[in-house]
Parts: sequence; C-alpha cells; structure tokens
Amino acid sequence: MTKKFRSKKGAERTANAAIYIILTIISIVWLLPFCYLLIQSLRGETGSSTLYFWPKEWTFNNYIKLFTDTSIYNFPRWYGTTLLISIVVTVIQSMITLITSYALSRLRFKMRKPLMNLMLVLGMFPGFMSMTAVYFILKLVGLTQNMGLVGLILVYVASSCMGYYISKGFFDTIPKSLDEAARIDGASRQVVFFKIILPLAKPIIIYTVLTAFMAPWGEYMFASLIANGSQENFNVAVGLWQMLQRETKQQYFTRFCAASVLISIPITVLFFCLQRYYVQGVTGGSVKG
Amino acid sequence: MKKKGIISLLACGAMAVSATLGMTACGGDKGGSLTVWAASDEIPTLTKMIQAFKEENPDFGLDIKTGITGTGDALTNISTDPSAGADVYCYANDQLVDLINYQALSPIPEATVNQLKIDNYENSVNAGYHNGKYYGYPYAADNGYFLFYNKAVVSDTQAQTLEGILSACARAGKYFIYNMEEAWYVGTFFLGTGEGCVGGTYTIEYENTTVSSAYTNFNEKAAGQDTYTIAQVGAQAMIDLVEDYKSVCFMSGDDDTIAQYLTGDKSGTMFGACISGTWNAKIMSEKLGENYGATKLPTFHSSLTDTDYQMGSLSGYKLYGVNPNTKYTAKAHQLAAFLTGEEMQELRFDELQTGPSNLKVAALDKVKQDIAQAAVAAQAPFATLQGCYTDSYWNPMKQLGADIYGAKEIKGSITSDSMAAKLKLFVDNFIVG
Repeated sequence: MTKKFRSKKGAERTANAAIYIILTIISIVWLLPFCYLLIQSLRGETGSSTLYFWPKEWTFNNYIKLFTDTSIYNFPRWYGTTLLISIVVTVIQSMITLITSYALSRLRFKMRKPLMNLMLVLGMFPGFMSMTAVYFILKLVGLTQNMGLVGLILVYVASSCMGYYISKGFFDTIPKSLDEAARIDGASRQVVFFKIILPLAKPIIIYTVLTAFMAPWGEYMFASLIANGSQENFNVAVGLWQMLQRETKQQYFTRFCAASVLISIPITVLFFCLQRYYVQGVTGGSVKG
Repeated sequence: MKKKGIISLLACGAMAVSATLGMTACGGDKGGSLTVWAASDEIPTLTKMIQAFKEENPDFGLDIKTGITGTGDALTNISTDPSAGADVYCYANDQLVDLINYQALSPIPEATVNQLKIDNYENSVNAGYHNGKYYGYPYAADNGYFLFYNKAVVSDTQAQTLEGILSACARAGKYFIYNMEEAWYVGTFFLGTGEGCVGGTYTIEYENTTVSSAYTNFNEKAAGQDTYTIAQVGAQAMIDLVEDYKSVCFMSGDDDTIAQYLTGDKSGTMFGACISGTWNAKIMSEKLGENYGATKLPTFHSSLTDTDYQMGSLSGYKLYGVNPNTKYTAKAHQLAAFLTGEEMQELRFDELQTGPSNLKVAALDKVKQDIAQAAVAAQAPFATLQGCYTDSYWNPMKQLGADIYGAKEIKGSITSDSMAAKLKLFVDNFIVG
C-alpha cells in the first residue's frame, strides 16, 4: 500500500518536474526579448548590435538623453501626444463600447439581431484594407496634416461599438430583475445603466479601458499615414522609427531601446494594478457569452 | 417626433462642424507656406539652411516648414497621396521613375539645368533625367559602397587586393564582412566597365514610365577573355571567397553585423575590413580611432582566368525635387535650388558629412581629406550609376548570393554543366523584353 502510494507520488513528481522544466523554458523564451531590450537600453557602447549579451559599460545616459537631447528626436513631445491620443480614445471608446453592449444586452428592438450579425461580419474585415480609403475620407473633411491628431482619434474610435461581444456577455450575467426593480421604482434606462449596472460591472469596465488604451498606444500604420512627415503629429511609434534608419541606427539604437522600455511602462503599470479585475472581466463575460 | 428632431439636429451640427474644420484645415494648410522634407537627423541643418534662405530672400513671402521624411521613405510617403506630400523633398535617384509615375516631380527649367551641369558632377544631374526632362537638384554623391578597413590588421597595400585583405584578416583572427546576401552588394563581382573591371552592365529602357526592356551582358565574355563569361568569372570569385574563407575570416552580414564585429568581444575589436558606405563612417572612426581606414574596393583574383579584376559597385545620388502639386512652383524651385547650392552643400558636409555633388565643394581640401569621401571618389571610376532597377534585377542577384553563401560543396562546380545551366537561368531572369 505504502509502496504503491510512494511510487505514485514519485510519478507525480517526475511529471511535475517535466512540466516545470517546460514552463521555465517557455518563460525564458518569452522573457528574453524584454530582458534584451532592457539591457540594451542600459548599454554604454554605441552601435546597433553587439556580439555579447552583457554590456561592457552600463549607463543611464540613453534615458537621460531622451529627455535632454530633443533637438532631433523630441521624445517627450511624442510621448505626450501618444498619451493624449490614448487617453481621449480610451474615454470615448470605453463609453461607446459599454453603451452599445448594454443596449444590445437589455433592449429588445427589431433590428437587434441583424445589427449584431452585421457588426460581427464587418468586424472580420481587417482594418488596414480600408486604410487608404479612410485616409482620403479624412483628407476630404480636412482631418489630416494639421488636424491629424483629431483624425487619428476618430480613426481609433470609429469602430469601437463593434467590440461589444465580451462586455455584452458580461452584462448578460447580471440578473435582469435588478433592472426591472429599478424601473419599477421609476428609474430611467440611463439611471439604471449608470447607477445600477455600471457599479456591478467593474471588471468589464477595466477590461474595456485596458484594451481601448493599448490599441492606439503602440499603433504605427495609421499614425504614419496621417502624420505624413509632419513631426508635430508624430506618435511614439512613428517617431521612434526615425531612429532606426540606415543613417541613424548605429548612433541611436540604444536610445531607441530606452524609449521602448519607457513606452511599456504605462501599460505594465495599468496591468499590474488592474490584473485581478481583468481576468474576472474576460471570464465573467465568457460564462454566458 | 421629438427624438427625430434631436437626431437631425445632431447630424446637422456634426456636418457643420466637420465642414468648418475641413475649411479651416485646408485654408491653414496651404496658405502661404512651403513644406520641405529631410531625414530626421538632417532637420537641424535644414533649419539653418532655411534661415539662410530667408536672410538672402527677405521678400520671399512664404512661410517655410520642415517635415521628416528621408530619402529612404520618400517614395512610400509620396505615393500614398502626392498632393499631401511636401512641396520640396529629397529622394534617391533610383526612385526617379516611380516618382514621375506618381506625378510627384516637376521638371526643372532648362536654364537652371545648364547651370546645374556646370556646378555639379554631370552624372549627378543626369541621375535626375528621364524622357527628355530633368527632375532633380543633386546634393549628395556618396550613396554607394567602398572598403573600410582596420589599419591595425590590414595594411594600405594589402587593402588593394581581396586576397591581401583576407590573408591579413586570417592571420590576425579578424573578420572581413561583406553582405553577400543582399542584391545591392552582389553586383560588385560582376558590374563595372572601368579599367580592370569584369565589364558587366545592366541597362533598362522605358516607354514613358513602364519598363520596356532590361538587358545585361553577363552572358558575354569577360573583359580580355574568350573562354569565360562575366557571370562565370563573378560567380567563381564569390564561390572561392566562400569556399576558402567562410568561417575562417569572412562573414556575410548587414550593418548590425558590422557594428557587432567593430565592437568585438572582451579582447577588443574583431573587425578587419568590410564593404559598406558613408553612413557607417561615424561608427568606424569612433570604434577604430586612428586605425580607421577607407579606400576604393579591392581587386580580386579570378581562379578561372588567372587575372586580377577591379571590384565594381553601384552608386547613386540624392536629389531635391519639387512636387508639381505645390501652389508655388517657381518659388519651390527657387528654394530647392538654394538648398542644393554650393554654400549649402558645404554646410551639409560640415554638419552631416554628406558627400557633395557640387564640384567646388568636392574640390575643397576638407572634403578631399575626409577618409570616407576620399574613398567614394576613388571608387567613382569603377562605379555603375544605379538606375531604377526593378525586382527582375534584385531578386536573381539576391538569390545567387544567398545560394552561394549557403552552399556546402561548390568548389570547382562552376565549370560543370549544372552550374552553367544555373548561371544561364540566373542571367535570363533579369533580361526583360
């Protein structure tokens, strides 16, 4: 009996060991690029690449110069621009997504099903296919170049109601009787949404906010198209790309890495703070999605 | 009813807002200003140039703005929407036909062309020529490649021959880096009609802006030869290089590899020599210090013909062009001419070490004494002006280079039938029409 038990434990241990080894390898593979970036950003030697992993000379200069040496690369400005765009997009997009989801979850109207299907189908087209068309429409109404930031925000926000699935799923899990009780007490739809449902939907709000923030934060394609060379409208991704040109790469690569590390900070902080809600949000929505 | 009213009101409001936005944007956009593009690292210099231009032309009457788009991105950024591109922008001459195709270049007045030809290398002005018209003001003549070497490893005499460089590198345990897997560099073993070159040429002809025919003489006999073709001589030299020196002291790699070997390991630099261009001059002098050397490309010894050949190269020019979508064509031309004039090319050399196309600036002592610029000048007689080559040139070249660099058993295969067939296919691939 004991012998059998022990051998089972032994087998379990071997299995666990194997699993842990695999997981360790996976996490190393996954973490290596981040570590590499961080280490390169602290490298004192110039040049785009080295044969060794650990720098010979450690320095914070790459970070300092990002903020002090702004005559060519105005990193603080790009950072500010991107942050501004992301925050505005986050606010508008979260609002639209949540409102749409609530409406689709609670209200019953004639076009509800066709509308949901339509959004599902439309959402399947990759956005960049319409990029040139979107650009010319924006140009037509004057939202490129000088007004580029407004145009960019509009592009990012434009299809936000189509991301309704997960939050609609979450709203579906909140009992309808709560709405009904409030309605009987005389609350309007609006009051029900803001006062009753939203406070219960914290996880999904956070999930929506996070996804809304991340999309414009690192976006390059539309930003580059709309900025079209005007440095006032560069976001961080478009600006940093300039550091990697043939003529500038050798000199600025380590600074580019430092900038990349700084870019990952807001998202990392947001994630750490909101992590537990995030998981709840996604899984909560999937129960009855 | 009430709801409908609100909705239509909102819609009207939105339309009105966007209409006014549109109008103000359009108005502010083109109202009395010119935009000039340059690469990000050139912007401070460009700002100084614009300042100088304003001082010289106080009655110019237009505001001048700068934007970031270097020659590398010019075609991409212009092709999306030429009418939104800068009024004056820089491009590399191999983008010329595409840019004309997008109707993004305005021809230069004839009188100016004559002056340009007097002031600049004639080739640099011709680099902007297509179908009877000139489209660019040249400002840089150093868009090509040559040899960088570490004087501590390779002596000035050894740097004259590929064999000298390789044996010096092998002895010192350092590396010779040449990007055999990139089409731009592969041509070095074939191209060149200068004295001692193998004699390869590549010509493209156009009907308006479409390629009507592309022709190469790679299947013809090499210079001074009646047995072996240009393709065979070039390919054999590449094979010999790989066979004898790969994993000894020869590496194929890009700018990153060059940076890696320059920085080296604990014992210091592992760099012996490399084939690259002026964009790497700064890091070379930084890492090699007084051992930094540069000169024309070396000669290589062909084991097939038992002759030494001078390595050729592709070279190009950078030019400023005027966008025909500009509202102020004449003024844009005036500005472009100023930005590429003698004083401005000198300023550009002082601040950015750009190799000038202007003859007077090129003749200045400081330019001649610049190590990298002297190497560009030394390579010039053996360089082929890079036209608007298409993928029908780049793809087979890249494939050939990658095949030879990646092959295991190739020694002596060049004379075999299978290799001859392969080479014929390779040459046929870039003959069009």
